[in-house]
Order: sequence, then C-alpha cells, then structure tokens
Amino acid sequence: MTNVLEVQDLKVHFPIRKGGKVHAVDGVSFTLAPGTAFGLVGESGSGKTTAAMACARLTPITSGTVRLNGRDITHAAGAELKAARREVQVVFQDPYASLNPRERAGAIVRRPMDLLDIGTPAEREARVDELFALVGLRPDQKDLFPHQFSGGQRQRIGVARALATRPGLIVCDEPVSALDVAIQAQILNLLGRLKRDLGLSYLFISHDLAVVQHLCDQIAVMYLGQVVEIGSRRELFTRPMHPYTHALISAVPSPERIGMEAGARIRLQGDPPSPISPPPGCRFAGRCDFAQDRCRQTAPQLQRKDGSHAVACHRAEDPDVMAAGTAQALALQPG
Amino acid sequence: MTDTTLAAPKPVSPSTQAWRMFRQNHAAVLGLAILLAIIVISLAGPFIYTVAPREMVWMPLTPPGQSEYVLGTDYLGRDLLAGLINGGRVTLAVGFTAALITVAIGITVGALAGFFGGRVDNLLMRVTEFFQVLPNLLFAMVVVMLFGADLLNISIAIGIVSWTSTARLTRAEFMRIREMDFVKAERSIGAANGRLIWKVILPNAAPPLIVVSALSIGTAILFEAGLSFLGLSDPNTTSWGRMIGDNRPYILDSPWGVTFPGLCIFLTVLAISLIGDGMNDAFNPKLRER
Amino acid sequence: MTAPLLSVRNLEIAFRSGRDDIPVVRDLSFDLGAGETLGIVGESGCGKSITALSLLGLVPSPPGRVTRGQILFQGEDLVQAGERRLNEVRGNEISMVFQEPMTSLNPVYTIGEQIAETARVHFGLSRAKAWARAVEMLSLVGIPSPNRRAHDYPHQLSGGMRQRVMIAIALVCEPKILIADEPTTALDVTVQAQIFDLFNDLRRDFGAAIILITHDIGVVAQMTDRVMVMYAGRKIEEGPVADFVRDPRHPYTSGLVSCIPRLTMPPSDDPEPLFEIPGVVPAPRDLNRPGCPFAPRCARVMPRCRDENPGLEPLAPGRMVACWQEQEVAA
Repeated sequence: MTNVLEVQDLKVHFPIRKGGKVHAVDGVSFTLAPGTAFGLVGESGSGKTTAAMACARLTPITSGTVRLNGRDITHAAGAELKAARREVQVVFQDPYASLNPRERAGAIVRRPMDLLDIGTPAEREARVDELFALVGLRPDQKDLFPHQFSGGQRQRIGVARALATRPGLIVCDEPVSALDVAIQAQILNLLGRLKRDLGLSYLFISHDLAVVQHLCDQIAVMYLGQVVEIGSRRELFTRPMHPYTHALISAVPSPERIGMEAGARIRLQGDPPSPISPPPGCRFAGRCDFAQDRCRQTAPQLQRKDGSHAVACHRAEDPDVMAAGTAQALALQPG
Repeated sequence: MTDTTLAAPKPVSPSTQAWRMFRQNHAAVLGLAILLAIIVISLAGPFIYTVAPREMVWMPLTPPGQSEYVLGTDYLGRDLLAGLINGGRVTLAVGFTAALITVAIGITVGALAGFFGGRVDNLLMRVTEFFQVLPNLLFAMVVVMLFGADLLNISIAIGIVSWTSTARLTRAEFMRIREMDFVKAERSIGAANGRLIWKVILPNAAPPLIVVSALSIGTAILFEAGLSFLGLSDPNTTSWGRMIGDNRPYILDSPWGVTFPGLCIFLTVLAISLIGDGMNDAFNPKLRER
Repeated sequence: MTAPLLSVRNLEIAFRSGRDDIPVVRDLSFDLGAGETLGIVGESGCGKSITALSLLGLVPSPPGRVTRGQILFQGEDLVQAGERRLNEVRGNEISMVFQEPMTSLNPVYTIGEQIAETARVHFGLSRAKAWARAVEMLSLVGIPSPNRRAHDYPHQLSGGMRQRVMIAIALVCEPKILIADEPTTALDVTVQAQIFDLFNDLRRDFGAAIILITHDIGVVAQMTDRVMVMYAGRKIEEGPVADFVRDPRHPYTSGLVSCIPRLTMPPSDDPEPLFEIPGVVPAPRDLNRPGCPFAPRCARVMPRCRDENPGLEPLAPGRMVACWQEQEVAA
C-alpha cells in the first residue's frame, strides 16, 4: 500500500528584509502510512507548523519533495493542485479565526465542494447535512453564523469543512490548544473516532506531548527546523533518546508527578539559537547538558536505531544520555 | 455527542447585529433621518415646489418672509428656496458620485497592494504617495479647468484627489485579514486570488471601509462647495456651493444668500458624520457585547 | 490559627448589561495564608480572572463592579478602600502577572527603565539606586547578563524572557501576594517549567503567597498547595492539591481531572477515548434559574439538583464541596 504522505528532505526558507533567510524547515523527511496519525512535536520556532503547511501546499517549498498518495505534489499547479487539495485538508488551531465570520456554517462546510467542483448542488447540500451529523452538530444549525457557536462547536465546523471533500489526509494544526480543557476532550475524541471510522490519516501538530501521545501512532520531535528524533509512540516514550526529547518530557506538568522532587527534572537554559544563522554543529548543543566538541562542530544525522526509531544525536548511545532518558520515562510510571 | 440540546438560536448575521446596534444610537438615527429628509426633499421637491430656480422672480435681495418666496431672493432676484431645493440635487449628486469614485479607486488600489504585497504593494504605494502630496484643491482646479466644468468632471476631479486615505485603510485591513486562518482555509480548498480578494477578504474589511466611504460623501460635498465658491462649477446648474459663491459679494446687504445654503451644507455633512459615527460603533465588536 | 493574609468573604461581582446587573461571581469566600500557593481552576467564563482583578480593585468599571462582600487584606477591606489606597496596595502588597507578556510591557521604554521606575515610585529610591535594583531583579528572575539586558526593549526579548521581566516588575516591591493569571499559557513547555521553578524559588526566598489561576490540571498539580474549583461564578470545591487530583468529589472536578490526556508510561497502543463532560458552560445570564448550575451537564444528577442549589459544605478539615450527592453521602 502506498504511503499517504512521503516527505523527503523538505526545506522551507523565508527571505528576510536585511538579506539572509530564516531556515524555518531545514531538511525534514518522514512518511505517513494510511490510517495512522503522525505527530509533529516541538516548541515555537521548531518549524512544525511550517513543515505541515508545506505538505498541504499552503507555504512555498524551497526544496525537497512532498508525495501525496504516491504522486509528487511539490510543484503541482492548476488541475493537479486542485486534485491534491481534495485529498489533503487542514483543521486550524484557532476556531475563532479559521471560520469566515460573514458566512453561515452550512456555506462554510459546503465551500470546499463548491470550489473543487464536487457533486451537484443537491448532493453538496446532502453532504453538508451528513457532515454536520458526523461531527455532532444538528442540521438546523446550518444557517447560523460562526459567532453564534461556542469554541468547541466552531472547531466541529472546522472539522466538518476539512472532511467535505473526503480527503485521506487531514493536517491538524494544534486543533485543541485554543479550546477549554473540557472541550479539548470532546474534539480529541471526535478526531479519534473519525480516524477509526473513516480510516483517516492525520498529520498532527502539537506542542502538547500528552495530546500527541494520546492520538498519534508515529511521532517526530522537531527542534529549530529539523527532526531530532522520530519513532512510534511506544518507542519514543519508553526509550526517549535525544536529550531535547528528555527535556520536553520532563517539562510536561503532570498530575502523576505530585510531590516529585524538582531536582529530578531537566531544565533547559537560555533560548534556541537564531534560525537565520543556525550553528554549524548540532543545533541543540548550546543548551545540551551532554554536548561535546564534536557536537558543536558537526551536525549529527538522523540514524535509525531499532524498529522505526531514529535519532539525530552523536551521543545517543552514551550510557549517561541513555540513563537520563530512562529516568524521564520511569518518572512517568504510575505509583 | 452534541454540545447542546437546546433549539438552535435564530441566525443573526453580522450586518443584522450592526443594524441593531446602530438603531440604539439616537444621534446616528437622527443623522439618518436628516439625511433621508434632505435626499427626499432634493429629489421630490422640484416637482412640488415648481418655482424655477434660475429665473428672476422678485426684487433682488429680498429678505425672508417679505414676499411669497418665503426664504427671500438673491442678488439677481432668484428664489432662494427653489435654489436650495434644486441645488441639493446637484450637491448630493456630486457628493455621492465623487465618493463612489473615491471608494472605487481607493479600495481597488488598497486591496491589490494589501493582498499581493511585495512589488505590487511598493509600486501602488508610491503612486498613492504621489497623489497624497499633490495640493488637493489646486490639482482638482486644474483638472476641472482642463476638461471643463461639468458635474461628471467635477466629481472625477474630487475623486482623484481624495482616494488615497481609503487606499491606505483598505491596504492595512487587507494585510491584517489576509493572514487570518479562514483565508488560509480558503486557500487550502483552492480559492483563486479573485475570490479571496473580493468575496472573502473584502466583506470582512467592509466595516471600517463603509464608515470612511460614508464620511467621504461629506468631504466631497465640502470639496464641491469649495470649488463652486471659487467659481469652478457647472454654469448650467445650481449647487449650494455655487449659491454661496454667487452671493458672497452681497453678504453685508443680504446675509441670507450665503447663510441658507451654508446651513444646508452644514446639516448634510453633520448628518453624514453622525451616521458615520454610529456605524463605527455598530461595527465595533467590543461595544456590541454590551 | 493566625488570621489569614487575605480573606475574601461572600464576594459578588456583577456586570451591567442593559438595565440588569448580571452576577459573574457569586457568594465567593476563600482564605490565603502567608507563603501559600492557591490554585484557582475553571474554564473560561467561570469568574476566576475577574476574581483576581477584583483583589486589586481592577474590575473594569463600568460595566463591572463588586456588588457585595469583602476582600480583607490583613484585616483591611479593599472593597471599601479608595483609589489612592488601592494604588499603594497594587505592586507594593499585591501584584499581578498576566498571560500575555508582550502587551503588558510598554514598548517605548527599556526593561531596566520599567523596573527601575516601579522601584523609584514605591521606595523613593534615587535613579542610580533604582537602576541597580532593576539589574538585581533581572538577575534574580534568571535573565542572563542582566547588566546588558536591562538596556533592551521588550521586543528584543523572547516570550519567556518577557514573562520573566513581568515577574521582575511584579516582585520588585516585594509584594506579600503574587497573583498569576495563566502566566505560562503563551509560553512553551520548557519555558513554562523554567518560570515555575522561578515561582518556587521566589516563594521560598520572599515568603510570598501565590494565587495561580489556570485551566491546566497538570500545572495545578505541580505548583499549588491548595485548589479551589470554580464553575459558573461559584466555588464548587476546595481542598488540598493531592485530594483534588486523586479524589475529586464534585462531578465537575472529577470530569476536569479525568478529561485531560496524560503522559503515561508505558503508553497504550490504542488509548481509550477520553472522558467527556458533555455540553458547554452556561452563560451568566442563564444562571438565574434555580438548582445546581452544573446539573444540566452532570451524569449523577438527582431531582433535587434541579430545584435547589447546593451550598458549600465541609467534608473534612480544609475540604468542601457543593454537591447534593456528596453531601448526602457524607451526612
């Protein structure tokens, strides 16, 4: 079976005023199997959103290739791009900003079919009803405007719009981080149910490790435009290998850790380096407790360790680094 | 599971909401009433009050209330009331046409600059700056003198010198809105640039643009008055500005000849300002919550 | 037991809408002891942020105002205090850190100037001494090379650094209470962890009490001693943080605690769906009907819940809950 998405050495660079360019995404590769959810995790500036938007062809690609269902869409245009757009849709972060305030909910959900010429008008209207039911909205809410819905309901409209063209892949850009806690669960469950029932694949962007662990089968950790670690849910959380992944896991505030000694946590110092002129070696070296001279001089490549697990770290197999990872994983164990 | 089991509320469009807010603003409603009254009088008046505005009907410089011509006559013995009623037509026509031209140029230039950014923006903004630094009145006078003082040319001249602020506002709104996720969402379903500009972004940029467009009618009316006062008006028509210009030399003998048309201009522009103010509040989402 | 540092009694805050006063906080009472960290938890619109603002006399007025109750700070009622007295209290005795650090800093002054100005006004220090104090504060909140950084403008700093500056401003006058309203929501997790370490240090070194307002259960668990849960303007549960996480009593609290995905080890390959609290928070306007405000969303609702609003009843020392079922079980 062909992969839903294959990304090879993707680079997205933005020119800036003073000359030079921002290396927003700098050589990212991954594949997404059908019916699975792939999580891109990282902090602000990691390039996770830019990478995902490039996959949906919403951001210009500097180099590399993006294949959607086996077809190269990196430079697709016209009818080819239109066909690709039917197959990949986006759910945005902020349900208050992602719905046109001047359109009715039904029209918003119907719009992708209008623009991509899918079905007859009557079929589109029937599909809108179907989609409303699918995401837990009532058909009589079709005539309402976005401001008449709660945040959770708006995000349901956003999901319904993304499903309108029956895409195989949905890019979810932090779909719950703008929602209240109690509503997050509703939307996450909805996404989980749709994935199972419709066989959808997700490219899921989040800064929240717990959300990613809950929903994603494969996870890539990004730092300053590059993937530093990639693996299945089990591989990544039972044996986190990259020191940055350790720090991320360690930083998650969790009810499980009440009373845990603060000393057992990893605290990163300082800020990430500038994406305009990234350092020559490992981009994390400046903040890494384990960094050595070679880390500062040569950039580590992503190397497969076992199964699908790969890490970009010179010292990944050093006993000290491995012990730090084990400590973080153990800290999550209940009891 | 649905979020709520209550029946759906009535759909309330953003425009309906704005209208509700507007109606609560007494000053704005008063402004709207005044403007509507002025429009109705200007349109229907000449059919009801049939005195010819450009003919000598009585002794020149008759004060109000001393003849059957209630507002008196001007220096040529023409009926002031007939002049006001017929002049209103011309003034409003020039005001609306000039505002339309202002808005059309301003929104087009601003929308293209704001939407495309980069080189297009650079070029269009230099053009805008060029028009901004021209001395408005002088340039309009040159245009009118070159092409002849008829109503359309006057409207065009006013439009050409006043579109720059509308363009700047449109550009700023477009730059703000084009970054919003719903525009990205439209792109992700393959919306073309034309649709994004006119059907997606423009309606969302509309509120402040509607306000400045309304206010630009007032500005155009004042501008027309200024040109007429300087003698640059269509010789075949009467406008309020022209009445002021004509009667200016006799201001000491008969102040009425300039006072009445001046009052008309004042009332119209005031009404438009009140309406613009009311619309501004009505479109402001922060005030809407109350 | 000594008198608490802060004692809020039967506080009601209302917003005027048309001709009506719509209460957004109702009958709220709580205490805060010196050196304690109190978490206030709830969804948006539950009244937690407006409660925090009221402690500083900052309820936006009009349309809002405190319509009833007392805010006793060291025995003095701040509701009755004049603007002049409130100004002395703000910053000096009680200070606040907001969610968005960019909009809370003045972009045209350097961060050093902003901290020094606060120090100068409150302590009457000379310019030189105030500047020295500003640099000292920057170093205290963990800003590297504070001497140099003090000359930076807010836009030159990262989000985490800006939030540190906000904290430095809040702490320069050594307040007795620090109110933090979602102080890390706009920040990355690793930065959030740094800020919380800083809070803990400050509490230890200055003995300040902290009120932490958040919707993040993990943050509450990690940072606070005691938790108060608010729903629709009322306190519905209060207790020590361990009880809040492990033994929540109000159905809403237990819903909040169990509806979040948790990082676990080993991870489940096919996680169960999350617990859902159905429905949405009611609008303040809809709260004038009788009964428990949570009843329409409650899985354990009883007939009584729809008719009578349960008051807060103590379950154990330091624990209370407003739920008929829990109270009947306890009785």
